[in-house]
Amino acid sequence: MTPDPGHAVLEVDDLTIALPAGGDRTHAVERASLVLRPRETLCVVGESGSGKSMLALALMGLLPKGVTVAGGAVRLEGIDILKLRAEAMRDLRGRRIAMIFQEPMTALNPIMTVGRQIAEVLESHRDEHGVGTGAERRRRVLTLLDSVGLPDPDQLIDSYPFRLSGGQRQRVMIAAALALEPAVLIGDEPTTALDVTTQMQILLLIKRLQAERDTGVLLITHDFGVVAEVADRVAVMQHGRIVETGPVDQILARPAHPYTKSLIAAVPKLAPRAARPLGEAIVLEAAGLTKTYRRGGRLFSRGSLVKALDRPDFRLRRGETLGVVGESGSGKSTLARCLLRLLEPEEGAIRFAGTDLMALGSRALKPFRKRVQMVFQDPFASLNPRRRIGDIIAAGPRLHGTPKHEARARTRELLALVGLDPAVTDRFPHEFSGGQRQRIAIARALALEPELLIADEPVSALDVSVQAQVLALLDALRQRLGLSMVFITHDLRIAGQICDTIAVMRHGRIVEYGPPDQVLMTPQNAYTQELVASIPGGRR
Amino acid sequence: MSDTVDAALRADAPPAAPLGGLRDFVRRYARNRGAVAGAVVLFGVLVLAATAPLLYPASPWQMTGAPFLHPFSPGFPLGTDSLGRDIAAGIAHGARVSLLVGSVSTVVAIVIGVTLGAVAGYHGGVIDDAIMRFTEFFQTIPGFVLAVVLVAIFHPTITSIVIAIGIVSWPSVTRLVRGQVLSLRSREFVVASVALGAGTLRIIFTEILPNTLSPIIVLASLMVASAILLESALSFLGLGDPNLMSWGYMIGAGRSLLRLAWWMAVFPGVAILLTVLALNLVGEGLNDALNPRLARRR
Repeated sequence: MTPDPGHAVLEVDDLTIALPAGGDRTHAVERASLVLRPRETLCVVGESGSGKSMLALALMGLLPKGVTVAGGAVRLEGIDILKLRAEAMRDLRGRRIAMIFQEPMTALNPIMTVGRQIAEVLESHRDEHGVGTGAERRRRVLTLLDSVGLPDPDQLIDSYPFRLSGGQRQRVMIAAALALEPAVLIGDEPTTALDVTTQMQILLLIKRLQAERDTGVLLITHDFGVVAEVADRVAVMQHGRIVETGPVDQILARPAHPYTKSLIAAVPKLAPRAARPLGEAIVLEAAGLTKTYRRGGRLFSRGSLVKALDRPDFRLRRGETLGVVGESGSGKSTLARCLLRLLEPEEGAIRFAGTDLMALGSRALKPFRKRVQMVFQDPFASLNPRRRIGDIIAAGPRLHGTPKHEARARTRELLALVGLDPAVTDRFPHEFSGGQRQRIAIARALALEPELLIADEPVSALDVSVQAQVLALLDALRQRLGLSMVFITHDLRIAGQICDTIAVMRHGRIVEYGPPDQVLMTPQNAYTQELVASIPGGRR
Repeated sequence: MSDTVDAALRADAPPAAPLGGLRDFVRRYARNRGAVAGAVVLFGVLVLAATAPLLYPASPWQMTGAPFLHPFSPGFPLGTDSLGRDIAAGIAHGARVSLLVGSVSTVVAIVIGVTLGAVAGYHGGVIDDAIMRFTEFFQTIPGFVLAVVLVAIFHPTITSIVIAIGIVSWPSVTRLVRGQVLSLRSREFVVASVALGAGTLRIIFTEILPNTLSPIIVLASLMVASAILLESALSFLGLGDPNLMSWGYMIGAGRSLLRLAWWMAVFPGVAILLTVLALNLVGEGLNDALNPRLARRR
């Protein structure tokens, strides 16, 4: 594996990127070296804060203000692009090196038609490729839209981005990026915001286009599943340094660096847990819940109706963990909030320990609030930034009449239970990392000693290694406290690891229901089969 | 399994203590030079207002010298007016009235505005519609005209002036608070509080309002400035409290003699200008200090 500069399309040599003074780190990237060849896919893997996105932006010459290159060289087809003037770099961008971003929802201009946005790329490099007339450009755009697998290009070219789904928008971004057949395509987490099935389609699309055009692809990702799916070679980043580089098979099978080992070990495997004996007592039963949202529609138009919940019936036994899996829009978060009556379902019954919660008014509901608690997805949004940790955790017990000193003592116990220093009660949420915040959120939910915990994607905003810790914590607490749990996730691997039963949701309905080994290994429903097949890295 | 459990339960230390609340705030505020100058001027006006009875124990209405004394006359640094009253005494006592009216009417407007805004934003639906239409009704009437009408109906006293200014300035607070509450209401930490069983009032006061504090503080500092202007304008038109000396009244009285005795109108005018400018600078500095992320972009 000796780098051959003659064939390298992109070479990063000893690149150091300095951060503005006063931050907690002096360098975003330190002495990174990489080589990318035509037709090759190089995956740069790392957790949040590893500097991988800064590296990508530096390659495009798009570093944010205040962040500067402090040393090293980036050679694109032999030209050191760091030495180029802004004008010359602008010419290369889009023509020889292009980028696709993480968030397809915001990467497209909402008030410009899809066709215009792609044509813009062609216009700004007109001289070189001679795509002069409007009609010619339109033909090129149509061909591009067709080549990225978008249905009905003739109609799509004049549509606005809001009509497109996330996956379709990402295809448009790819079409724009590849419009001038650049030698290098950089993808910064291009599939992270997408559902698994869409993710798989986009990854396959990139692979196909790459083979057709001999493009070198540099893919920034945090997901080893994606790596296993598409990478030829892998570079692992930690704290701004590249700690290990090698062919994908070697990295995945025989990682050398301890950090790589820990990362790979933390990746959830598709390995259903062994069945546990469960009692017969039913804690929670959902029967015939429906919830309809009206989409669009103003004063004079009705808009369309979307059934978010369409009778997803289930029964949860005491001590059981039910995994609710599904893609975005399947209604799983609506289900979680309806179970707590944070949203009002239109009809149906929620029987908790024999009482129908739907029949209760808000005052009668209060005692039940104590017994059912929720953990939210985003620990950065679920803690009030203006309140101290101690107050946040003690809020529940105080509301239900626990005396102050008792609630304080309980808070310290809980912090110790979730693995935090009990002395942190006077701090504010912003002083903690994502994983620590999620521990605080779990402590808050447990403060009322609930019987049932509803967790809505509790780990999807966290890095893999932190994810594994929080999952282990939830599992340990469930065992220790005898909790029943409804665990909502989009990740089948995680569901398989910690759930006793899995319910697959689609369009507000449960399409498949059963123990993990059955649902994940021998799925009956066509949609479940598609989901399982789309798990990234699943084929290795 | 127990290995992972222990690992999961083991403490990982939080990052070393950052941000010292108040000191950090002062440092960010001081970065804006204009804001520091504004704070100094405002402090000067406050000191002047506080010490007015000591500096000029006599009533500012009292004739203490010959009429039409020029500025820098002995004993009368800012001169005297047509009746021989000391302009400097008038400005010192006027500062008390201006600051009092400015701050109390702002408190009135904030109380009305925050209450209505929080209720409208939190409940939404019909209640929101009703409150916002009511607010818009007030916004369609020019504020100054409404204030004139209110003061004229209630007879000009300091209380009626304060109330009138409060009534014309609350709508902007309501709109601001409503918008903030509307966006905060669906945040997860508010939903979490509902899930804990907290009541509406507790959620509004402990979860939502503390998060709207910084824009309200900034708005309030600017509202004090506009309240001072409103009061001056009312006094200028002769609708001020007849028992209290105020800057607006002094300008109004000196207006007809502008060519004969310019200092009668100019000095109170400068006092208004400096105070209002200082308040605006302070408001901007507070904005920078309370929203550091926005400030850094400049």
